[in-house]
Order: sequence, then C-alpha cells, then structure tokens
Amino acid sequence: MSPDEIKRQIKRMLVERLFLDVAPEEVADDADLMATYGVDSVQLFEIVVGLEDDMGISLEEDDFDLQTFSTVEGIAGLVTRKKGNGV
Amino acid sequence: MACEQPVEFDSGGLRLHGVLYAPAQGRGELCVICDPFAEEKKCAQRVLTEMARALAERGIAALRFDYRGTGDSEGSFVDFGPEEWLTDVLTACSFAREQLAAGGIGLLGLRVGATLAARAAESRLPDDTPAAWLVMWEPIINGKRYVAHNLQRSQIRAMLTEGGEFDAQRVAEEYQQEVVDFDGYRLSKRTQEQLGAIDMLAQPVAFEGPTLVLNIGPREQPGPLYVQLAQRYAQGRVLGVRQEPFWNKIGLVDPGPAVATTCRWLAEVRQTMGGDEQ
Repeated sequence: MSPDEIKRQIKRMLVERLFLDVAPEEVADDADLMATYGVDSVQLFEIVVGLEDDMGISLEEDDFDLQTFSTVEGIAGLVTRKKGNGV
Repeated sequence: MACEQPVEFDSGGLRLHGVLYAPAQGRGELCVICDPFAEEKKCAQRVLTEMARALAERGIAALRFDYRGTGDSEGSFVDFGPEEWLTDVLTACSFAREQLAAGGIGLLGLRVGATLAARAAESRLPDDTPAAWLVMWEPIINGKRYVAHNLQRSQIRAMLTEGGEFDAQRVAEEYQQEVVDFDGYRLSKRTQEQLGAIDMLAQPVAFEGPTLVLNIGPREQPGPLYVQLAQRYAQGRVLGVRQEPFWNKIGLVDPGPAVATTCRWLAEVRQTMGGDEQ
C-alpha cells in the first residue's frame, strides 16, 4: 500500500469513527487533530480501535506518543512502521 | 400513564437501589435492564433511561438498578465484580416479578451488562422459567481484549495529561497491581481476572429464546464478531446501528437509533409470540 493510500484510508477511518462532519479528503495531512477537530481521549481511543480493526495494527506501549497521534501524517508513519515490521 | 418508582431490594445482604418503570397498561411483561459499570454506566445513564421509558410506553415494565458497590446501592466498588453482579441481576428478576406479578422476563444489557444478561439468560429465572428474550447491546465478547482496551485508554489519558512525563511502560506496570485505577474506579485483580475470562464465542449457549445482538458504532453493517455471536443463538439476530458509542461519550447523546431499533425488533418478537403489540 502506498503512503498516499495509507493516508486516505486513515482519513476515511477518522471521519467514519469520529463522526466528523467533513469529507475525508478535506482532512489535511498535517492538521492537528485535537486543535482542528477537538479530538479528545475518547476519540483517540476510537482511533486506536480503528487501527486495530480496520488496518490490522496491534499497538504496544512504545507506540503511544502524542506527536504520533496528533496528525494523519503521524498516524500514517506509525502504520507504515508497523506494517513494515509485519505487525 | 406510565409510573416511575424508586425501589430497593436486598441482594447478598446489601441494599440495592433501582427504578421501576411500570406501564399504564400491559400484559405482565417485564424487562430487567443490566447496566455497564464504572464510567460507561455514567455515560449510558440517559440512553438506558430512555430505553426503559420506551419499554413502558409499549406496555413492558422495566427495572433498572445499580449493582452492589455501584450507583446508589450499598457496598464498596472494589469488593465486587461480575460474579456478584450476576447474582444481583437474578435477584432483580425475582424482585421485579414479585412486585409486578409479571409473566415473561426479558433481559437487556449494555457492554458488561449485556454479557451479564446473556449469562443470566443461561440460568433459570424465578419460578424456574427461562428468559422470554435477550437483547445485547455491544456485549463484551472477548474479555482479554476489553481489559487490554482499558489499559490503552489509561495510556491515552496519561499521554494527553502528563506531557513530557508520560511513560507508557509505567502505566502498563501500574496495571499489574492488586488494585488498579480503572477510569477513576478501584478495580481489584479478581475483577480484572473475571473480566478477562469472558469469552462469549467459546462459552456454551443454551438459551433458545429470541435474541438480538446490536452492534452500535460507525457502521450499520454489524462487525464479524457480533455476527458470530448471534449465530450461536438458536433465534439469534444481529443488527447494526450507526450511532456514536454513547457509553464513552461525555455530553448530550441521541438515544434514538439503538432504542428505536430495539423497539422494532421487540415488536416483531411480541407479534411472533402471539401478543398484541401496542
């Protein structure tokens, strides 16, 4: 899966799971999810569940990092890293 | 007009608090509603109240109550867990039947409450009768995953609040202690183990009555685990509703989709049972 396709998939997942009132393509790669969409701890957890259920990613302690979960770019980097590790 | 009445009853020597929703007219049907626990119970309060009222409007009495150690009931939260709460569900069924001289008892639960409702349906209810029907909203199907998710939630909260001090490994280690902080609730190791032992796809299913598994989330298409769970029941049906996970949500929620879908399913069940659906 290309990096752009990973980002597209993450944006679709965010809009769907967080019930955001925007089109997936309107979510900028570098938009701060907390500042722009008011993402809180409950919604961050929904993102984690989405990564598990929709993208087959299992998270470990080291993966919880605020920088990572602040933007689509950060999450895409995590997915790429985990997929690359075969996780 | 339906009547709502606070009630108290004893379970295991402790006084439990509940609210009985009695319909203006009915034919002796009753539903015992099984809440989730901890923060999920608080967040789900309004939706479950709306569900109880919707049942009463349709001629079905409903009982909501607080498990021992939760809400207004006696006992300390840290001392109890699913095993005791299952006893409370069965006691609530007996109490409600005595109060209302009810006939069939249905069970409806959310999250851990749904899992408890399923276990109660496997038991014989008062007067040695089986449950009339079973509704499971977002049941905890796999307890290990549920416990792991709660650890992840703790890590996320710590990540957001501790800034540079955040240490995910430390949060994980704290989760190994005898009593852990579970969304601000003190959860014993024993309760964690009981929760972790839940495996609804492995446990035998004997309940043969009408059963609804409701998957509440971002998609109307129910997820595969919910489909598998429903298939284990002789009269199991799985439905999905697109609705925010209100048991996690702070603030106003729309109870509509889950309540409406459940009422539609119940109307079908009651018609099949030969009742006069109101």
